[in-house]
Amino acid sequence: MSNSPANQLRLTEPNKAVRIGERKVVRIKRAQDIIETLAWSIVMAVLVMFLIDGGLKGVTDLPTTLGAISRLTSLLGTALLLILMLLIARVPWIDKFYGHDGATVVHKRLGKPVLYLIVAHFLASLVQYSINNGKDLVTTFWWFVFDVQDMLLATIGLFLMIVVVLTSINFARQKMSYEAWYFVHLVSYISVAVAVPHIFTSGSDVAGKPVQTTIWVSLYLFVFLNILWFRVIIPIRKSFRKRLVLAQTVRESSDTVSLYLTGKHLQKIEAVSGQFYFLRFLTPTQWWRPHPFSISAAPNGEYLRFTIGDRGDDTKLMQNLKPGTPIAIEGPYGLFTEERRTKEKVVLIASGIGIPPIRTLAESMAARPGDITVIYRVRNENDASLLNEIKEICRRREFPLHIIAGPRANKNSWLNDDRSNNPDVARLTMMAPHVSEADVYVCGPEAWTHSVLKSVRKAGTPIDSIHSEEYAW
Amino acid sequence: MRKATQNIVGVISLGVLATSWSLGQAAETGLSLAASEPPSGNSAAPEATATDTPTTQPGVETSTSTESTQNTASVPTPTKSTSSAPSSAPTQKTSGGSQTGSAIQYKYGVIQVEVVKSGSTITAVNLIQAGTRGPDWAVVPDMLAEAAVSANGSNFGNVSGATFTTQAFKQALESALAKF
Repeated sequence: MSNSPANQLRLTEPNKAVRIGERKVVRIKRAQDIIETLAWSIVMAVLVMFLIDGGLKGVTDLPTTLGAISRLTSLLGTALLLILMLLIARVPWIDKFYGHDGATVVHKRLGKPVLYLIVAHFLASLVQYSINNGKDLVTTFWWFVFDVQDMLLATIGLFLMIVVVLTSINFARQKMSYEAWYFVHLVSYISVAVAVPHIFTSGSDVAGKPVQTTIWVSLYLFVFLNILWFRVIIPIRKSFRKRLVLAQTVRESSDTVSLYLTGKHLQKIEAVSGQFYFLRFLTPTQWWRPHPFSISAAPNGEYLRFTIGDRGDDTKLMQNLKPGTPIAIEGPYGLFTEERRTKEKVVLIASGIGIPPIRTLAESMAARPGDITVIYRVRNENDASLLNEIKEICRRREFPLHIIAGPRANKNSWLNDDRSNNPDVARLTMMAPHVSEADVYVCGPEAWTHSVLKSVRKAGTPIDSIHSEEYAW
Repeated sequence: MRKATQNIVGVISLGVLATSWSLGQAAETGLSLAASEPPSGNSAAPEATATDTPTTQPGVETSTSTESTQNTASVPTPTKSTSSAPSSAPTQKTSGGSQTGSAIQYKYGVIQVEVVKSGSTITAVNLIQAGTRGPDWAVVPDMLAEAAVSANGSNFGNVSGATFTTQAFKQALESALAKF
């Protein structure tokens, strides 16, 4: 075991310098404006095509109104659907400015509106043709499904889409395992694909209209190729090149283990401290579902290390993986990095299994002694993941380190009970006097993070200097 | 998006929407009957491409069948007749003034019409079978029937966006006219 990577703490050289200043933020905001304007112009383009085509001209009575509603809702729904799919295609030029988590949050937010629009399109068409044909709704529905070209597939697509959205609302997500949800979510690609033919064979705004057909085909192709390239081809190629295998697992605390991955070309790994990968353990039962994990040591050319907590489900299985298990990776992703830093001073705050990215940032951020303050919230000092490593880093680099152990002061507090009755903000400014003019990086469970962010805002830190990343999936 | 960008994009969007709306109000909507073709003989033979040539199938059942695999919008009732129709125009297939043509099978279904004549004037064209491409094209046969009455024959223009249906309709119409 003398050669195993985990035997001694191996630290990389910290970054020599970092560019700081407000201009970084301005540049990001400008890029975000451009991307959002582009997305908006897709929505506008479909509206313009509809209007120029005289979409509102023939609206005189109920059936024609329903027809216009059906056309409009389908156009808007499809435009938003394409944007929604592009958001999770892990396109670099989106993720670079919004982060994988930011894009995922918007993706989630668009889910329900898209479904409402598509359902409205379905209902409006149904009622419209029921009136036009003088038949009841059920007869019209059967006629639609079985006599109108491609409508059977489209109806199946709608049904699948409803299932996907229902299983993704928060209530259902809490009752489902990540694996079950992931499997159902894969179905959404099918639901979109089977709905495509009816657009081109009977869509009033597309079929038989060469300009519109060209535009829609290009939009669909653009999104499809992005997904294919960034979610399928690149990860497969990267995994194949790196040929990562699990070298060793090391228990860090009662409920966390570190996975050491070795493979080829590890000097060329692109990840920087604070980023994460999606890992697929290539075992017969687990290969199809990826899991997001942050690297817990700055890339050192020798191994990649992830420290994972036992959340139940798959993460429990992962703690018992055998060395030699091949692992496929997707990534690196995430903006929880020094790239976002704009100030000289930094405060790093972690709780529980949020420690890996904080630990890597402390290792590699450019800093003089005292520039970085580290706050690590743990349940129990004797059973805390990576505690010795963070202590060693802070000792060597002369960073103040505050370890906060024990039960909470009260149910809204993110700190322990120090019997002082001081509010969290006061204790934060005592631990990190420069917090208001520092970049603050926070990583931990969602509710805890939320409560930390409140204190940091109260302490006077501007919102652009606060960085936190959600485990959004 | 920053506030300033939002405002600029918002104003531009409104302008673009208003412009395209007014363009749309002026535009011709979807399906419309083109101007009449110049007369080219007694009966203008419809031009059909080799692949999609409508084929006459006299053997096709003449009863309106809803089990058709294509989108057959069955229109069994007389649909269009001019206001100048003679009072003796109740359309019965057995009456001397009306003839039913063959069922024309084409790309999107079957078209079959019944023509009612008074002397040499077509007074009504009734649709017996009228398969179209899809629900949005269901009005096309009605438009064509109307056009046939006012043109008093098959010499009328194309319904843009429904060329195949127009061609099949003209064949169906001519096969009925040929029986007089």
